[in-house]
Amino acid sequence: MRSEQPILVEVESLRKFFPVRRGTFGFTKKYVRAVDDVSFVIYRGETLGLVGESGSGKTTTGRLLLRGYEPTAGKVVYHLPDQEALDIMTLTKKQLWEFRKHAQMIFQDPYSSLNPRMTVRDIIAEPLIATKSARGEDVSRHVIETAKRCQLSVEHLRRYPHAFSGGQRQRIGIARALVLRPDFIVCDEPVSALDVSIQAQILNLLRDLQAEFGLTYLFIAHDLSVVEHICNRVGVMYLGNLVEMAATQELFYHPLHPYTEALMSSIPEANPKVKMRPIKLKGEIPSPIDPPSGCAFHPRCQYAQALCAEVKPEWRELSPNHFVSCHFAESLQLSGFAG
Amino acid sequence: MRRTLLPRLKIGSRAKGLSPETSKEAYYTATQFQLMWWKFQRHRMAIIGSVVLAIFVFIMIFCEFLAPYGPQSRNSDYIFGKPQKLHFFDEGGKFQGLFVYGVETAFDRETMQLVPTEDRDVLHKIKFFRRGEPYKLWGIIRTDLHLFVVEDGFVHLFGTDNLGRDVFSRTLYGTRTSLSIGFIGVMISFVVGLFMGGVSGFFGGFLDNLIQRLIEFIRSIPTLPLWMSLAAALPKEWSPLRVYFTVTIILGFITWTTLARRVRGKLISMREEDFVFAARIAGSSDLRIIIRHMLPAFLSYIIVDLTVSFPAMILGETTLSFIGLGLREPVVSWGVLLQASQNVKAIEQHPWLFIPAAFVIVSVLAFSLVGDGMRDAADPYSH
Amino acid sequence: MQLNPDELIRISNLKVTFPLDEGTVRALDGVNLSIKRGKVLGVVGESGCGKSITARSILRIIPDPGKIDEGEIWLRTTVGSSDGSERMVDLARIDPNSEMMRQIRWGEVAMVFQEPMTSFSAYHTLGDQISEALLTHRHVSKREARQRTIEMLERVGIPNASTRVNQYPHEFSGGMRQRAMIAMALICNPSLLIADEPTTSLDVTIQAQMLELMQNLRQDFGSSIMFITHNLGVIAQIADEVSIMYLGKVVEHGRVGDIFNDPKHPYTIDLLNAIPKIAGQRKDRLVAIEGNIPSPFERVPGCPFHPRCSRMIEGLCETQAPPEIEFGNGHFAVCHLYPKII
Repeated sequence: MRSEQPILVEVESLRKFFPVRRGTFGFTKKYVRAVDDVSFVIYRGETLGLVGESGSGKTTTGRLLLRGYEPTAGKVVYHLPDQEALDIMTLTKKQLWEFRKHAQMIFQDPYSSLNPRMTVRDIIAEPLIATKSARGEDVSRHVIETAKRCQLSVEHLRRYPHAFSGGQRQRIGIARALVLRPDFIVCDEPVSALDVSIQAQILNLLRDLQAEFGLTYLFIAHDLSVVEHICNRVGVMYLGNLVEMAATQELFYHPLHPYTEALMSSIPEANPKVKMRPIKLKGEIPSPIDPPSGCAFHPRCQYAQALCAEVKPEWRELSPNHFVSCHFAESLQLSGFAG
Repeated sequence: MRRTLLPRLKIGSRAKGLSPETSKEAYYTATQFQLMWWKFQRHRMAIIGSVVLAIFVFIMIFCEFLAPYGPQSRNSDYIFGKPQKLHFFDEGGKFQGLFVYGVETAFDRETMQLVPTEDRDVLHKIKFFRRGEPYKLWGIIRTDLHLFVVEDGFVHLFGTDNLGRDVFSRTLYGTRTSLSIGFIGVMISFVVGLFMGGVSGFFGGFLDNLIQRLIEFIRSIPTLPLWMSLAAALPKEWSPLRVYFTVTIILGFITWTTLARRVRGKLISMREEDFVFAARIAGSSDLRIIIRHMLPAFLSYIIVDLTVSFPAMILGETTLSFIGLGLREPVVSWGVLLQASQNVKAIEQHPWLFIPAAFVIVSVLAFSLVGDGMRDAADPYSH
Repeated sequence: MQLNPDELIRISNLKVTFPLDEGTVRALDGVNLSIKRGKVLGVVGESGCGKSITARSILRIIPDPGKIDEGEIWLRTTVGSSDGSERMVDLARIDPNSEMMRQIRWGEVAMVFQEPMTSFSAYHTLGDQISEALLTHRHVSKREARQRTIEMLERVGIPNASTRVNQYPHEFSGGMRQRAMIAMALICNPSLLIADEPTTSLDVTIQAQMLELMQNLRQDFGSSIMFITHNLGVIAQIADEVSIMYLGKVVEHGRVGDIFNDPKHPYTIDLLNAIPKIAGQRKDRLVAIEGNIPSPFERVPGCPFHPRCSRMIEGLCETQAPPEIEFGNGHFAVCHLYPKII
């Protein structure tokens, strides 16, 4: 992916703090800093991966990009084809409707994300009806067409979700996201809940749909081999911050951030000849309520120095299209994936 | 191992006599309420409870027809009369059909009282679907058809009270009053609870705070003094009908708090559900999310709650009337009937005046059993 | 039945069924497994293959209404012998509530569960719960039990063990809780440790640490490990031998190198092709296994994999149960594809 490519989504200093009540009577208000100043762009037609461990803020970021949550601060600007730049955080309810036709989402859990009380047809038709994109016969036509494209049988449309296995349910979720023919889809761990033999089917489907409809994906995952397989570029999140973002191969083989290095060393390769040598991170992931000072990763970083605890490193483009936030990114000699 | 829903399938297919293939398809295309029904059917006690309830509802609707006498008809020949036994065979062992013996009144020298005793020489045959006392069905249709009567003579299956009124008939009339209070009270608490809980859960913030404090306030009032003061506030000169409706409304307004809390809790937890979030991303408006996605999901829970709150309603009416704060004569309810059996003398000498209590117990039990079954069936999608 | 000298446990022809209202679920349909002393057996399979039920059968803790219909589970154990000598016991034939079985559970065979939060009671300190096992199975004093608990917690890499021993499970993170779970499993020095998806709910960096820890512990303690997972990467890293399960049967078994480099059963081959591998270049589509895993109520005649198999032989695979073919070095596959004698 080269930077001459047109930008689809531009994220600027995005923040989302969730309030939590603490203290004896719940009067002391504190915040979970789920996403804490994140900036990046997504190019049209690419798949951008977002990896990180639980609590890193990747899911929240994905939801903010669709304004599923109201952000605490920051901008998300869409450059949709043949349209003016659209800052979705300033949209009115009516404009937001219009925007929904362009950006949709696929969920992790194929069980909880489908309303069990609606038939498959109604689930897939929901975005069409809710955004008033189609009426009457057109709804059925679009639903059938999309369902077929996701390899769902038309006879099954009158069934309810409880008739289906995890893999088939995920196809229903994909059809729902696809039915409006959006430009952009946030895939939030779309294969993590699926069996290995089903994962491949869904990954292939996502890839085929991207080629056919020119889709752009934000692909959130924690399985690094899946990310490596499907993504053009990958961003690594840690404790609400982006720590590194680069083209997939660059990131996997030439990481610039110590946390990325630790992640890469922890991938269990499905090859008994390649034994992994995981880098041990000190301690545990700190609470996002009271993140460490300076660089959020410094208490666990084996290369940390005094500066890291004091100054928050800048998010900078070290080499073309390779972003990192580490004070010592230039001087560290980090090793990438060993396999 | 995840238990699937397929068990319900069998019942569904057996009932409809479908082939395995079609029954599978029937299961796959089954709506929420079909699944719930299949699941409910597996709960044997709940089915028994439903049958009992159906009988009660039948009594409630057709009590005038089922009762041989009106609620206020007196039989001066049979005061504090014992329940009469039903017989098929006479003294000689001869089959006579269903009958009761006649009654003659004798003077007991020991207790110095008139005591009605069975007269084994007189047989009163019970005739079904015959004309008897005239009445107006539902206060509209003038008729005199009864389920059963005895010609010349009388039949008091549950005995009579101090005025010689038939306890059996009065119990059936009382069923109508007590159950209808339950129904209306539950409806009121349903509407109020749904509205208040809905506002509280969906809008949150200040309104939520206000409603929650109100609920806490209502729930912290001891019920008995509350009832007493409310009953004291009812003017004595009000007609029994007016008192009846007021008591119903009072009961309804006290019990809505539980439901409101349930609705609020469900709404709040459901706002976080993936499929609700998915609906929002799909572009659904708030109203559409509530009606299309949230309401069907917690409707079943609300129905369960309503069923479970029925006994409270019935017991509330019974208690209120029993202590003399609720309904009064000439309205007949279970509570009013039990009021007649308030003292030790009554228990000792006229134990049959207690029979309405059995109706209270059986109806409350039946509602609880049905409620249990419905609770199990309420979420057919849980694994 | 005679166990080979290097075998610790052998399961043969184990059949477990769940008689449910809608019909019988054959959770295990003739499972054959064997675990060697001091070795790690990886058991791989997808949902419904019966890998967890196999583990629970060994401990005789199959959830209701499941029951063992057929088969044997021979374990080499010192429990129940007066002079401490080893003997063979068929666990399938012991009363699950007997004293013997209680002694074997946790004393000889211990288990680590997938979800560490639900495996501990929230109302007792971790230390109490871990030393409980020691007090029950090894007759030691309370003080000694506590001392050994602290040592064990240190051993599994929990810092400040002497203070953390007094803390409650909710005060531990997921990774730490899983370490504590391992400490509890190893406290009685069992001869077999069953780990049921122990790293599935953990983050990748913590998973890597757990795997390393288990490797080290197994060298120190000499326990055999039955490691159940659906993650082939994890298996490649930790197992000595691998059994691949599909629909209640072991379809292929062999040394880890043979399974990954020379898989024989079409299911194993397809499974290995279906997972994305980090290869350093942009790849095309994955080779997916078509179709879905059949519902547990369906009985697939012949070979259980034939409806999804790309190399299915018509007229044979759907009618006849495939034979077990041995390829040497204990590598065998249950498949019609190979000539009977190799």
